[in-house]
Amino acid sequence: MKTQEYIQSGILEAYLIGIASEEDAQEVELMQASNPRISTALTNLQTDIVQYFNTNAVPPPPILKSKLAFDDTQNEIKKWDFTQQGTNSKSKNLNTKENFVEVEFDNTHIKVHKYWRPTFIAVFVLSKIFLALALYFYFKSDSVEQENARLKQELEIRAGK
Amino acid sequence: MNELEQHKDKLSFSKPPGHHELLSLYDTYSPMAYGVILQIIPQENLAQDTLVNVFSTLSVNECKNCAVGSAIYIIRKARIKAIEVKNKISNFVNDQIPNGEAALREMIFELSFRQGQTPEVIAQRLNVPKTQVLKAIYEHFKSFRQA
Repeated sequence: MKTQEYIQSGILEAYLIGIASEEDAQEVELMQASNPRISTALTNLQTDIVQYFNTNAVPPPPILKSKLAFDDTQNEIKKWDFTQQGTNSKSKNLNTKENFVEVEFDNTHIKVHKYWRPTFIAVFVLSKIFLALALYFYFKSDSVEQENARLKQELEIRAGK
Repeated sequence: MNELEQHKDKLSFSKPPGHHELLSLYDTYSPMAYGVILQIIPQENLAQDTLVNVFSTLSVNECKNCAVGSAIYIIRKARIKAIEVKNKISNFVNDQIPNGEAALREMIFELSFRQGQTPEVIAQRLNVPKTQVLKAIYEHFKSFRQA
């Protein structure tokens, strides 16, 4: 096939927009490397195709850019899969592990604020003091009641005499 | 201070390498890519998700070193992603052969670029040689150049 026929066959357009088969794409790449006319035609065609798609360009909503910026930090997490391939890629990601926060821990301990310790001790000591006072006053009132009952009994006996 | 708080600062500033280049590519090519996606998926919500997906999975190095240029690379990528989404939501294929050369050209472009069919499959479906399918694509862009 002559060069001009090849350029006009449509295979270059198909290659550039990504619809050519693997074989055709390889053929175009070989031809591009070996034939300067095809290489030039391909370069010109790139400009035309970009221009073609730019005529149909639609500005996306501005919020999508911020969504992309957010997605970018989450990229590795989103791309994670639990297939064999995912397991294999886990080892590759070990080097970049410091970029991620470990959210799952093996130990069963929890971490609390440092002021929890004196607060806990104070509450514990106060609870013991209140318990001791409660027991003290309970037994005291009980003994007072018994004393009253005994005195009443004595008065009744004396009154009977 | 809990574990998340300890890493808060680290997280907010640990953008992956190429982040600024990616945003720069987005600024330059997103309208074109969005236009390509809308041609394939007219539903705006799906098209927007696809656009974000195109750029979040984009390899900046691959894009910049692509032999056919960044713009063509992004057009190809946007098309592939949009066709993947389109195939998930519907598999509608119009088999009616239109009358007239221009309509046939448009249909071939529709089937190949917007519906993801290979020239071989289109040739078989329309019962024409593959060379005619490729020629129709050539004529499609030629008519744009002449317009």
